Amino acid sequence: MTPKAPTQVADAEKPTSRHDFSPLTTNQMSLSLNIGQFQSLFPDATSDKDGEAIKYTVEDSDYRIYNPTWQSGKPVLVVKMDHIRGGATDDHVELQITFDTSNASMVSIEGTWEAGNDGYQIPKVVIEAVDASAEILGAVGALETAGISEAAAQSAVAVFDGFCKLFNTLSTLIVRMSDNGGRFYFTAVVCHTVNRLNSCVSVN
Amino acid sequence: MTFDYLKFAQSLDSYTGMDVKDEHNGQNGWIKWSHSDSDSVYNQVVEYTYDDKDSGETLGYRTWYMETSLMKSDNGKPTGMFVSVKIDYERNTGDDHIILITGFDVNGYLQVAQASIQFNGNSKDNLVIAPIRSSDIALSMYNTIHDLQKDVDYGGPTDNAGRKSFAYITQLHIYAITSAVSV
Repeated sequence: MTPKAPTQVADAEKPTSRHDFSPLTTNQMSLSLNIGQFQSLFPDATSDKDGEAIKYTVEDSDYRIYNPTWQSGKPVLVVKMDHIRGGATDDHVELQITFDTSNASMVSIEGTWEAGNDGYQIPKVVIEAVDASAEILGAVGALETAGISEAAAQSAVAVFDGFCKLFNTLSTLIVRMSDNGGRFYFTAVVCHTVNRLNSCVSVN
Repeated sequence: MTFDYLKFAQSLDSYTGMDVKDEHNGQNGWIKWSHSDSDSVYNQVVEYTYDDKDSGETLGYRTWYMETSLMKSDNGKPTGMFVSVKIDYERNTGDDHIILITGFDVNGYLQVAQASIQFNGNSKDNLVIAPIRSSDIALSMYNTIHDLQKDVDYGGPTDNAGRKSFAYITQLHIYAITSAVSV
């Protein structure tokens, strides 16, 4: 048995050029999602569903992340995810993530979770008003000291807060379900997806 | 911002009672998960034992290859990073699982940790540890889990020792993950 040498995380996201997503225009401001960059952030991902999704492996489980789409006329990205279960119905998650069109910061997260086979659905998750003033990340001032722009700092604090709230909310609901480790870890996959998505949204 | 998996394994091995398999004699501690043929780098685990002096039990655990995601970059610099990890407590009748989330700021400093814990066959005992943002996050995590478990009887000496070591195991993981993050 010769395991691969452990590797380090890349220093920064490296956008790819598979294809660009059509930008959403809202009033005079517009947001765009670099979907190629988004797909590239999932480790060792492969194309799935005829290019409509990517699939990646974490631990002993496989997950599918569909290409996010904009809700018509709204700064809201919809992303669907599956925990792939061999010989059984997949677990499904769908999130709607709302962004501030002025600085591409995440504003809120809503979502549903349906367990495979028995169809059990958790109550709709609503993470309202991500707290962009949360006293985390050493405060926005520290980010600015590090050379981070005010807009990027606000975005960082918002996604940090949103990630933590989402994991806490999902875990509270999912931890009572089955003993399946892959389903359990799906909570973390969903939160990483939100972070990766947020990092690929920008103001045009 | 980087995560050094070798440093993680070395750090975990360095604490009292901990013995990471294959971490010595030039080995790096990371081994292929024996139940899968996948060559994915994520199909790797660190396996180790913890000698619990209070109970006299030697307990087996497994930690899976961490998943990381960088926060949005500005001027080429990531504004932070999340690291998640699943830890298994190895039991003959089905493993227990811990998911630990840690979040780091632009300077690579730990800012938050949270966890959820799933006990095989005992869902009423499952735990969710809300985000901890205190000055000593690892110690607060230990104290929080310890307080939640101290009056619980898990039914046998081995499970009581193994499951009640989750506080210490999770605390050590926060230390080891933190040691592996650098800017």
